[in-house]
Amino acid sequence: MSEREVLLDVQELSVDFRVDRKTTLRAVREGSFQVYKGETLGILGESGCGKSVTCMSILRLEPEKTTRYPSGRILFGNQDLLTLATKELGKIRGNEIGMIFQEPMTAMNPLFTIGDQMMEVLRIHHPHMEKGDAYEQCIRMIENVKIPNPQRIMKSYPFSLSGGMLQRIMIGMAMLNRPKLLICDEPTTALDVTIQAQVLDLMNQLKREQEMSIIFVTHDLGVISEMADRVMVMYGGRKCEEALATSLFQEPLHPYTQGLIRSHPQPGEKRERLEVIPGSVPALKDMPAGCPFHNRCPYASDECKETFPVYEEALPDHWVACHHWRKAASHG
Amino acid sequence: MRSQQKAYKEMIHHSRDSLFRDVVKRFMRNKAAVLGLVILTVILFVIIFANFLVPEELVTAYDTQARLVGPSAEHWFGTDNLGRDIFARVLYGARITVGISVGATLISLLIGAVLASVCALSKKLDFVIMRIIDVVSCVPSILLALVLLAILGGSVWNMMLTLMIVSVPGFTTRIRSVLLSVVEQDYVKAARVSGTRKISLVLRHVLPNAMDPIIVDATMTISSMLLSAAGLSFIGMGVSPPSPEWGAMLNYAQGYFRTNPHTAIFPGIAIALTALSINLVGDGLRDALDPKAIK
Amino acid sequence: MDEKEILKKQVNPYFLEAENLTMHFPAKTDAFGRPTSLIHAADDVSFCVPKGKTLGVVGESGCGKSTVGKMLMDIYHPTSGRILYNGVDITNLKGKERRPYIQKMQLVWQDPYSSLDPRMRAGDIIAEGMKNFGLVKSAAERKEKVEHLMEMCGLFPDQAQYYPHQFSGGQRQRICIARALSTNPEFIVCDEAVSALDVSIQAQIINLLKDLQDELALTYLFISHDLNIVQFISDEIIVMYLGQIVERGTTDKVYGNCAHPYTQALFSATPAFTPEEKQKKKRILLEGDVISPVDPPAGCRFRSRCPYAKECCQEEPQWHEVEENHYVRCHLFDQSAKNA
Repeated sequence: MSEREVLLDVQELSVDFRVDRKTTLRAVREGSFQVYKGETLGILGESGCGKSVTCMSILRLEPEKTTRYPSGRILFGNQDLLTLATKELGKIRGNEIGMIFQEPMTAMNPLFTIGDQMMEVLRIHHPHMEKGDAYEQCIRMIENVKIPNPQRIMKSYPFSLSGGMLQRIMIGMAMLNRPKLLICDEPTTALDVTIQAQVLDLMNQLKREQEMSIIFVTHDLGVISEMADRVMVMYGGRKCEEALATSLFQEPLHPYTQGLIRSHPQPGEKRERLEVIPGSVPALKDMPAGCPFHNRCPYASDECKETFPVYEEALPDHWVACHHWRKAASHG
Repeated sequence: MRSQQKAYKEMIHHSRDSLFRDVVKRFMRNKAAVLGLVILTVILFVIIFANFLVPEELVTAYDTQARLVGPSAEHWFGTDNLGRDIFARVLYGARITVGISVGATLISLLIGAVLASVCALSKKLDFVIMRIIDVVSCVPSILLALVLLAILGGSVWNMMLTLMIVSVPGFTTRIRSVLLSVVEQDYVKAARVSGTRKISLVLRHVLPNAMDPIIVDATMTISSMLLSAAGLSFIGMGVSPPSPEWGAMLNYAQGYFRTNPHTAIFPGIAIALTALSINLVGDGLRDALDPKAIK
Repeated sequence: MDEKEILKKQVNPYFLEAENLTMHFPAKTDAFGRPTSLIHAADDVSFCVPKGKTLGVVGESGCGKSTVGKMLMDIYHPTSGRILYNGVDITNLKGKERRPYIQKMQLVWQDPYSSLDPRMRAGDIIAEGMKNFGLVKSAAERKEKVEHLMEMCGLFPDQAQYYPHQFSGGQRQRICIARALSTNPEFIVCDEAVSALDVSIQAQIINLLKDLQDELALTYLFISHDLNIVQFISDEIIVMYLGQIVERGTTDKVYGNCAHPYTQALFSATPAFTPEEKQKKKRILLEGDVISPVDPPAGCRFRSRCPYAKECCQEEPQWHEVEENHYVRCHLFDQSAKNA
C-alpha cells in the first residue's frame, strides 16, 4: 500500500479556536493522515469530534481571525497549505481541491442563475476562456451529473431546483475544474435516502471516471461504508482508529467504533434493547485529559485518564489508538 | 450534609440568574453602551433630584437686569432673552421632554402589546386591527401629529397623547410580527400539546420570549419620541411657553442665536446627548440580548 | 380490496383509529383568500393502533408523516376524516370536551433544541402539564412527581433547576419525554424523536422509549425516515409516499418481503454497513425527484419514478393482500389484471 502515490499528507495538525481573550479551545489534536491518489478517505464521527474542522482547515476555510494552527503541516504536492500565501491558496481552492457542503441551498447565491455561477467557477481559474467554451463545458457537466434539459437548468435560479438536484449541481460545479481532490462535508445529510442513493452513486461514478481522490466526512456509518476505501474514526478532536473500510466494519478495534456499530439497529435482527455508549460527547471545553473517550469507555483504566495512547498497527493497515484494544478486540 | 446542601443551593442560585448574568456581562463588554448608560443615569439623577440642585422658582424667575448674559458663575449656562436662568430651565426641562417621550413610549408600548396579543390570538380580529392600522399608516406621522396638535392645542398632556397615537400603529405591527414568529416556535406548540390554555400560553411562553426585541425597540423609540417632541415644540406646535421644554427653548432662542449662541447650544446639547445615550444603550441591549449569543 | 375491510381484519380492540384523514393546505390563494391550488399533505390516511403497541410511519420528507402526527395532536385540524380514541370520535371536539384527550395523547418533538422554552427551567417545563390538568395537589407533590419523572427518564433530580441551554441534545430529548409523560398519557406520538441526535445517543433514547412502553403500557405512533430504527421499535408499520399510504403490515412481513416498488427502493437505498448485509442488498436506483404535492395528478403518485410503471397506473390503485397482515396499494398486485 505504501508505494501508492500520496496526494495529501496531513502531519500533526492541531486547530485552536479563540473564543474570547482568555480562552482558546483545541478542536483538533495532532491529527495525521494521508490521502492517496484515486482513493476515498472517509472521516467518521459524531458532532463536535473535529471532523468538519479538519477538512475545513485543509483549505483554511475556518474564520481566520479566530482560528490558529499551533502545529502541523498540510502537504499538497510540495506545498504546505497552512503557510501558503492567501493568493496562492486561492489558486488551489476550487481548482485543484474542490469542496461540497452539507446545505446546497445556502452554498449558492440565490440572486444568480445556475449558469452564471457555474461559468464563474470556470472563468476564475481560466480567465482567458471564451464564454462559449465555458457554456459548452457547463452543459456537458450538467449532463454528466445526470440532470435532464441542461439548457433550461443553466437559466434557472437555485430556489427553483430541489435539494437533490442542487446537490448534484454542486458536485458538477466542484468537478468543473477537474480537481485532484474533492472534500465533501456531509454532502448527503440533508437529502432523503432515495435521493442520497442517487447522489452517492453519481459521486462514485465520477470518481472512477476522473481518477480523483475524495475526503468524505459524515456521521452515517452506512454512507461511509458505501463510499470509503479507507476510514478514519475521530472522537474528541483525536483520530482514534484508521483502517480499510472492510476491515473496520468487520473487526472494529477501538471501543468507540465498536459502540457506534453496535448501537445501530440492524435490519432483520431481533433484540430487546440496543447496546449503548453511556453518557454523551463532552463539550470542547470539558474534554477530559488523556484518552478523550475514557469517561464513556467500558475498558477504561487509570492509564487512560492520564496519557493518550500511541497509534499501533494492530492488524495490517489497521491503526488504533487505545491502551486496551486487545481486550476490546477479544470481547468484540 | 450541610455543605452538600450549601453547594446545591449555590448551584440553584447560579442557574437562576445565569441567563440574566450572561446578558449583563455581554452588555458591560460594550464600552459605548456603558458610556450611554452612565450619561443616562446622570440624566435620570437630574430629573429625580432637580429640586435639590436648583430651586424651582428659577425656571420662571425673570431677571430683567441680566438678559442674554453669557455663562458665568452665577448663571452657569447664561440667561435667555427674558433673563431666565438657562441651567435651571434645562434641568427642569429634562422632566418635561424625557417625561413626555418615556411616558408616551410606555403607554403606546402597552397598547401596542395588547393589540398585538389580540392579533396573535384571533385571526378575525387580527384582520380588522391590521386593516385599521393600514389606513392610519397611510397618513404621514408628522402630518398626523401636526393635525392632532392643531386640534387639541399644545400642552404636555396633548403632546403625549399625540405622540402616543402616532406611534401605536408602528408598535402594534412590530410587536405582532415578533409574537407571530414566537407563536410558530415548537416550544409554544409543545406547551399547547401539554394542555396549556391560550391566555397562559401567551403570558407564560410567548410574551417572555418576545420580550428582548420589544425592549430594544422601545428603547430606540424613546429617543425618536424625544426628537419628535423637541421638534414639534421647536416649530411652535408643542408645549406652550413659558414651559422649559427643550424644543420650546430652542424655539425661543431662534431670534438670538447669532448674537447669543449659548441660548440654543445648551438645550441643543441636552437633546442630542440624551438621544445619543438612549441609542447607545439600545444598541448595547440589542447585542447583549441577541438570542444567538445565548446558548 | 376496501381499506375498511383490511382495518377490520386487524387486531381488536382498536385503541386509536384514523379514518380517511385528509389534510389540504392552500398553496396559492386568490385576492379574496380563497385557495386556488392545494398542497395535498395527507390524503385518505387510515390506520389503527392497538393498545400497548407501536405503529411505525416511514417515508421521506414531504410524504405527510409529520402531518398525520400533528392531526392526531390537534395541531392541524384535518380537512376531512375522523379520529377515534377508544371508539369515541374526537375529531371535532373543542375546548372542555377535548381536554381529557389532550391529556391522554402527547407528542415528543423532533428537535430538542427548539421545543423547550429557553426561559423555563427543566423542572417547570416538566411540571407544566401536571399543573394544567390539576394532576397534583400541592407544590411538594409536584416536586416529588417531577423528580420521579426525571429519574425515570435518566436525568438527575438536581437538574430540575437548570435551563434548557445547560443540557446536551440527548438530555434535552429526555426532558421532552419527561414532559410528555407528565400528564399520564396513554398514547404518544414520536415525531422523528431521535433524528436530531447523535448516533450514540439515538440508541439511548430508543432504549428509554422501549423501557417506558413496557413499564407504563404506552402506545406509540413512531414517525421516522430511518428504516432501521422504525423496524427496531415498531410492531406494525405503514409506508407513506406523497400523502398516501402505499404499504402496510406487521413489521416482519413488510421488512422481510417488501412489496411496493417504492418500499423496495427505500429499503435498498438505505446504506448497509455490515459485510453480510451488504452482500444481501440489491441496489434499486430511482430516477428523478419526488413530484410536487401541489395538486398531484390522479392515479398512482409514484408512477413518475416507478421502474414498473404501466398504463393502468394512471388510475387510482386499490389495496391488495400480499400475505396475511400485509397489504399493498399497487397495480402490480392486481390479480384480475394479471389474469387478463
